[in-house]
Amino acid sequence: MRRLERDALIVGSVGLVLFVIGLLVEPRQALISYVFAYATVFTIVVGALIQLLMSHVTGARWFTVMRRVALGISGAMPAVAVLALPVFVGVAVIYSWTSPGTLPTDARPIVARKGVWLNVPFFVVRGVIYLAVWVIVDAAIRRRSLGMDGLDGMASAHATRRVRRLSASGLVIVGLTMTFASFDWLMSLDPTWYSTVYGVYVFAGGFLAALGLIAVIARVASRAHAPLDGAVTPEHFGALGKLQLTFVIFWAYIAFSQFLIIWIGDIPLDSSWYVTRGAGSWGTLALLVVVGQFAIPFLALLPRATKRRPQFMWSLGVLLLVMHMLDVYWLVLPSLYPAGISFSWLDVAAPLMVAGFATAFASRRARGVRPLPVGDPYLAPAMTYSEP
Amino acid sequence: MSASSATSSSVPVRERSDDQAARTSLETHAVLLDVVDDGTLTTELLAPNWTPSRTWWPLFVISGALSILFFVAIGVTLGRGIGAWGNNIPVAWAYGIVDFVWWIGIGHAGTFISAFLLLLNQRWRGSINRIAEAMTLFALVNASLFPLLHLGRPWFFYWLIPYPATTGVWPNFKSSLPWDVAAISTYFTVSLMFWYLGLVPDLAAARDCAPSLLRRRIYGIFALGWRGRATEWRQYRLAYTLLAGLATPLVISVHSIVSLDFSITQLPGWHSTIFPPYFVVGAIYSGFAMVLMLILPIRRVFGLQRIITKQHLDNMGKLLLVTGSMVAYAYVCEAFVAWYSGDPFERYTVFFARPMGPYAIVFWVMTVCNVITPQFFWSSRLRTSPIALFIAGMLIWAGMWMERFIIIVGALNRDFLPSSWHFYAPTWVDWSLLIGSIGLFSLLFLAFLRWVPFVPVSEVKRLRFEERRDAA
Amino acid sequence: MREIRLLAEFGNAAQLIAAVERLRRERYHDLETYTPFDIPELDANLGLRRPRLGWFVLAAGLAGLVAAYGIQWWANVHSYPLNVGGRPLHSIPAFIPATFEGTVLAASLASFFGALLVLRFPKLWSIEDEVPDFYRSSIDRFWLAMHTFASDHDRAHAEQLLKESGALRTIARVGTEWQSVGRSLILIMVLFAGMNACSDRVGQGFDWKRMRAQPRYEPFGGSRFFQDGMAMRTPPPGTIPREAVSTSFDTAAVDTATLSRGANRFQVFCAVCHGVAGNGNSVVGDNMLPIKPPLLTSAPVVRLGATQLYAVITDGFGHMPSYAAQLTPADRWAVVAYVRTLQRGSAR
Repeated sequence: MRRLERDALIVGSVGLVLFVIGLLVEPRQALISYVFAYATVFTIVVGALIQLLMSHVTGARWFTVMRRVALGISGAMPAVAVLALPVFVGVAVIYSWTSPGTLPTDARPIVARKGVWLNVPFFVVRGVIYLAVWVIVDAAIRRRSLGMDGLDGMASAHATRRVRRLSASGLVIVGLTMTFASFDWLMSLDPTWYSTVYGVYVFAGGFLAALGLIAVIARVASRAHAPLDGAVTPEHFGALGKLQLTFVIFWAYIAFSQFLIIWIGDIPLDSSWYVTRGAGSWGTLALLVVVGQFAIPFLALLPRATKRRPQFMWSLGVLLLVMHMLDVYWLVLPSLYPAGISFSWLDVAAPLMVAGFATAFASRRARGVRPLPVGDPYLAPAMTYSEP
Repeated sequence: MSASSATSSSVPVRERSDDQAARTSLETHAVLLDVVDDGTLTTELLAPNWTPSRTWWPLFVISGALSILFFVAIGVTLGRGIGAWGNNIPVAWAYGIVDFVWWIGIGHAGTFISAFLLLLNQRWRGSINRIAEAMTLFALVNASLFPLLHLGRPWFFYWLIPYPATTGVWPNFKSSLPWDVAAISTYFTVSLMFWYLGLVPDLAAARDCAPSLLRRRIYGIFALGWRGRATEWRQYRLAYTLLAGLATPLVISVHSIVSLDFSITQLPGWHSTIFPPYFVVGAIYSGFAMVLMLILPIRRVFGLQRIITKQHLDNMGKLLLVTGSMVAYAYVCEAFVAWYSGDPFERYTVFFARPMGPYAIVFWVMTVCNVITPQFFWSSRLRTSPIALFIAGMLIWAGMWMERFIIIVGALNRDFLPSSWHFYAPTWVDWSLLIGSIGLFSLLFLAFLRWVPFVPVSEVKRLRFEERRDAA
Repeated sequence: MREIRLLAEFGNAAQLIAAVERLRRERYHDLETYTPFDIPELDANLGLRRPRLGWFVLAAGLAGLVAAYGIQWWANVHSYPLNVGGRPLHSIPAFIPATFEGTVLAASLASFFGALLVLRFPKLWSIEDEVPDFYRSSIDRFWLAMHTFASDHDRAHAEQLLKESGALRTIARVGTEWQSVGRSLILIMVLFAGMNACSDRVGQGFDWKRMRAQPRYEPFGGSRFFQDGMAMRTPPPGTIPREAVSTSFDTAAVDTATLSRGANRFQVFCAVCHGVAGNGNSVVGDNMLPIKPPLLTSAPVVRLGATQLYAVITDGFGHMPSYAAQLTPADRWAVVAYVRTLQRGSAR
């Protein structure tokens, strides 16, 4: 753990230095790359939080053994909150609606009508609210969950009930704030475009990547002599694989329905977003994401046997993470380079910074946390869980 | 796969003595209450198929009368044409399509309970899934009638099917209407097969319990000669799971395609990318409401409290809360993004036409019914109260009809040009078709209750076996 | 279905499961159980192979996918291409929903009918029915059937074992069945009926052949009856064609009355396009595309014979419709006469 923390801190610092250099040299590129990196990370961290909350609400037994993995990932939330700073500070550079004079003439009246919502002070205030909600919900769940470790018997039953209720309400507010965060930080990159399902789309991608990350960490932590060895078995990976398959299909369904409706309606305001992202190198990237985030995982997760192999689930987890990154890249970067992909060194530096610091913080916070929720009355049946 | 005995486990985990007690206390209610034995269980559950309860006949007669009204209204529609309805230009889609979407939506909950909960290994679904599936089938019968009537010349309905016609014309697959044809016919076929396959073992039990030779023969034919062999169960289990696995994405695709009927257009209030998941969740929501309206009286009349326990009610209440919250989320997204879009037509539709337009009352009643009602089910006491659930079910059932009305008629009635605006009012034929379809549904459903084993006897027996084995 | 050599009845599932386990341990095989509910725990001990229905369903699903997409492609791209609002003829995103439905439909039909096929359902009669009270297998009794034994000693040992496991009763030897014969008979009858479906006697006894091949002569057909070998004969002398009455006209009969009638009819029907003086000077003529009405006083029209002019009025010519409905034959001749006067008038 400590080694991970140290390594991640080094990576993050390197990324920070490169990012600062980038800010001085080409600020717009640096900040947009930063938005891309930040969006990738915050969707995964919030996705892990949502999975944590959902597992409490649904009472999914098998996930008990992986719960601390999800808690570990969502533990990065305070770092995620702090790492949002460049987005707020650089809002004038990133978002074209901050300077309506730079917009094309036909877009100006449309953006002016949203002026009540899209203005810098309100934007920052809202952003702070979203981050605060996420940090608070994560802290509350964390406290309850870790507090259960010392309890037993009927006390832990009460605690479980409280955590369930808390998770249910938490899901509602995290869901809403996540939706509006994606509207604010990602959808407004193109201030004339709108899509009602956008929040669900961003959530689906982040959630799927979070499941992938959980698989990766669970695999690493369940090798011989690692903390979860013996607790996380192929049965659990099988169940995780089924959940991943469900959300692979869900993501593809949301992505397709957004695309089909806009494409077939062919309204210029709507479809321009897809026209940019479907042409040339952006179109190739989109196809790659469809294949890598839908076709390959779908076919790979269908057979029963593949889901139960930890090493395979690790590889698939890595694939899902990479694909999510490419998906967010495809969402964000066309606002800077509508004509085609223009790869920049900052597209590597910014993720290093954000992911590095987030990981370092998360591992630090995970110090001293027991790898299994020993106070949970469902832990023992979860460990002997066998797929039906 | 006994993991806890792995040698190099660095995790000290032991099953503590009071863990079991803790789990039991968390499980609030049992899924199955003291069922005596399989024989009594079978006799009890199949008894309604031999002699109808007292309430059955009057309800059947009333349903029959409403069904006759339905067919009269159909006759008027076929004879006089769509002019007998209140449809006009621009409100070319009104009650006919509202009823269609409403019935299909109701049908979805049945498949959800049957198929989706099966895949999630939710054992509690076992007692109620057949009623839910039957509800789906009869809802689909109703649902498929409305688009056919809406055709204007329903006797040419077969032109919608792609076959090499002498006219040389094929359906246009770039429109969502042929997708509807594919989706609904597939959904009906799959639901029918799924329902029937699940019925076979219980028809065999009915065959073996039948009080007369004629009934034994009839049930015997439909039971296909089921003997309960291990080879038969194995094949049945696989086919049933496969059908469940196919039915689940089918449910989602069918209502998504229905939602695409609206969202592929350019009308404000219709052209919204969230429609597919929004409609699916709304469908399941309205369907759960109807399932509650069916199950609660059945539970009371046939004395099934031991098989449909408070745990079932609790779970249904939770599902109402979850789906209701998702519908509310969709309302929020729609309203916000309509404003955010800056499009004056979208803003007008959401902020003026709906809450203050000619159908404002419908809009506000709908909002209260759909958004406020499920929030009461945060309370676990209300979740297990049959009366609260029934009332909530009725409100949501009606509220979701109103939602479809607001979406369809509300958007058509006030579209882009004020000179095109036209008020819509339903005629007696429209009302008769709606009420009559409810009558036809109850007629079919009562027939089902009378002659078909409506509780999955073999599944309840399996549940009882599992519970006794787990307790031992 | 083979004959059953040993049948045992149990009162509960646990006993049955234990009995099957014991039998398996003692190397007995070829067992079958009859239970009122599904007991997957038995599958391993009964040595049941994993069913291959899944592959069949997958294959059917793929076939459904190809078929559904293919039908859409054929209909909208190949057979009846239609430009609908500028969408491409081959709209892949638009074709996906119906393709998905086709896949699910095919796979589901394969699951259901595949299961029925493998189970050979309906199997309405079965040898177990001969056992008294066997019907309780669907209610609350659990049966076990054994088909093969190495020796009689083996059989006796098995029976002993079952009694020890709690069998309520054991039955030896249950007979054979006739079910498959009945099914084959039905199949043969159906095939027989089907094969006769394509005869000409189908359709309420009508003799369609007689309608298709009628004994009559076709135009321009041959006939050995006549010397020139043709079926068609020239009309005998004195035959009057239908409009013969009107195709002759006595030019000496043109008088003032005829001419004024002709002028009147011309002004009403013809001047609209041809102009009052027959010179094409009319509003309609000015707007007519691509060809304007010809000058009636021009040389080509002057050279036309009277009968030809009459024919143009009767049958129409090019853009000009037939005026046979509006003008009687006499009127038409009057118009022709008037046109002649216009032509002579302009020639001066």
